[in-house]
Amino acid sequence: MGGKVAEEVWTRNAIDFSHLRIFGCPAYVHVPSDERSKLDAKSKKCIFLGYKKGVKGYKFWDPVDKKVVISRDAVFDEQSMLQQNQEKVQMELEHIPAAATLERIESSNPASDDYSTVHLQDYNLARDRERRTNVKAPTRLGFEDMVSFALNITSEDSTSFQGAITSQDRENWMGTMVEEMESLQKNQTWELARLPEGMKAIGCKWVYKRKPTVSEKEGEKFKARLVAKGFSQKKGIDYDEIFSPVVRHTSIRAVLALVATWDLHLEQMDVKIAFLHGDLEEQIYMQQPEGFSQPGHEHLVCRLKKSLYGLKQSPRQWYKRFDSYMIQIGYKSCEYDCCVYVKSLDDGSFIFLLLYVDDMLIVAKNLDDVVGLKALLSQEFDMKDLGAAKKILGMEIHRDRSSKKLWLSQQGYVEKVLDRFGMSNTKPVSTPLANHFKLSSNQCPNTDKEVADMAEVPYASVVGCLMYAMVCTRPDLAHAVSQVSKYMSKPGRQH
Amino acid sequence: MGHGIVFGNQQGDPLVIGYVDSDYAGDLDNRRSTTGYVFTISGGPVCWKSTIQSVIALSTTKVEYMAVVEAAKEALWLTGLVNELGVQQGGVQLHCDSQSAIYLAKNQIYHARTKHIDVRFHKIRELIASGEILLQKIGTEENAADMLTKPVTTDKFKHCLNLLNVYSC
Repeated sequence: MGGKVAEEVWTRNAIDFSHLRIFGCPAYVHVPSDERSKLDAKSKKCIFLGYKKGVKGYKFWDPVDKKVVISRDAVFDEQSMLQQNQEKVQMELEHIPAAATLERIESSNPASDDYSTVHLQDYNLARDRERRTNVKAPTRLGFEDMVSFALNITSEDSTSFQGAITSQDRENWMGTMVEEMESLQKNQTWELARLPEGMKAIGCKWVYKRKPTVSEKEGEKFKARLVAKGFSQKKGIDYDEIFSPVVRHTSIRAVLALVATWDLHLEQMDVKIAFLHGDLEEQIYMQQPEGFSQPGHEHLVCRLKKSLYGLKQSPRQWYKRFDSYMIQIGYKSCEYDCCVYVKSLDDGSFIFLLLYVDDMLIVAKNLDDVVGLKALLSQEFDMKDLGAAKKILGMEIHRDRSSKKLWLSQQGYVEKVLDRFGMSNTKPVSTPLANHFKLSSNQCPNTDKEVADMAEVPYASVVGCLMYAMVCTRPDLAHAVSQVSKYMSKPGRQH
Repeated sequence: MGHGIVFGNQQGDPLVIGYVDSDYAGDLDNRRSTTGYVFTISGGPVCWKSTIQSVIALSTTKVEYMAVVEAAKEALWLTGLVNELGVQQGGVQLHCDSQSAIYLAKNQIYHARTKHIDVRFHKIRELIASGEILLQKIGTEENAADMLTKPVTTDKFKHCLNLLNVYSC
């Protein structure tokens, strides 16, 4: 048999196990219409126990009525179960000695997509299975648990310099830090100076980021960036104006509409380390970066010449620098949106440039004009050419130039949001708000218990995510979002 | 889930067209009304808003009237922008489904029932007189801004999305 299931050997087809459910996972069992009245809930929450012999149905444990239920109509919520498992595996790994010689079996765990590859290697089916038998029936499963799951998806990266140089990826982190220091020195970001009397040097910090594997060849990417602790800056001393304009979403869409109708070229560019291009007006002193202080000059501080990530005025300085350059090469900033730059060309056509911090869209009738502008910009700044625009601010752009159509969507973003709040398996509805659905502040929680209950739901961040989708591409969500936003400060269960 | 905006399956110049609607006293807590408007360029929506009005309106006419004013302000900005981008935009067509609000905006009647309307909101009369805004009547069925002000039925909702060129992939 060679370790295969009999049916696989017989039919030579790979067997689909997708219909098997995880034991112990929460499920919503349908209550038949003759057992409930009109106003009761249509389903009740149970725990999946297994399969009843001789009956075509699932066996569930009903924790409320304390009895076993057999039913075929049920919706399983495996997502929360998988996430909980993952957490426990992580905890157990710390207890089991590394010398344990357990056979490693490759597994294709559907949940592992969310986690880094490092995790997958450590995943062990044998151990996992053994542990599953002594899992207690999940008693406190619910939306609140998913929230705590959602929060631990990220943050595996080291948070401090000490953490980075002692972690197992020490060489990788050191490499990126040295790279970052070199690029800072190349840009002449600072010079060493003695700290004058009465001035205070602000701190700085390394920020580490691990980018997940994109292709097999490259592997995981490590990124380190030096940021200044801008929060210790004082207004009037270290900075004055910090407002930096960005392009309105409306302007982006208006320009895209013109692109579609006039069949223009749409190209995208990105400025590398944009903020480092801005020149500083104020005198700011910063402590030397941790681990890279000049030997023999430890008492000196860095006098910043260019703006650095984390400083309050960095975005503004970058915008000012870019603005002055664009005007220098003959462009005009729009009166109605100052981040849209226009230049009319000799043949009556226009060339537009939209700036969103370090992302820019370039639009023109002739490709030559686009190339010309790109060359000019690349001379002045450190640019990355991204070719025809595919994605800006999380909005995906698809074009069909033959029929002059342009399609703008946010599918990726919406999927990510649903995933983050553990709702990717929910049933889609066609309208965002049903027309019997009325919200009012009467539904706001009145007792302390209700308040505590709702405190666990990340209401504000759900609404925030929806709001961003609404602002970018979804006018259909506008009304629903405005309705739910009203209860941001004191949400109730129905909201 | 994969809904997105489609631009440009229309002939001719990309012009700005607006739709306005409102919902009278839709907020259960303090009886304030809702403004909703959406502007399209070459078929796709570029700008929309759904918001509770800042003052409590006394009649449906006034609610619609205030919504028209809100939309007109946005229309001015949008025309300015597209004109700068090289579109020959004349007056903006603004579609509204309330006949009484249109009459009120077009006629300088001063009436016992309308005299409480603030001067600020009479800005729209000036804009219409100068031809910057062309206010037009539209049937409620064809008004795409309807879905921005109240919960609508599934059919109506889909119809509104079709009007605005919001399709799934």
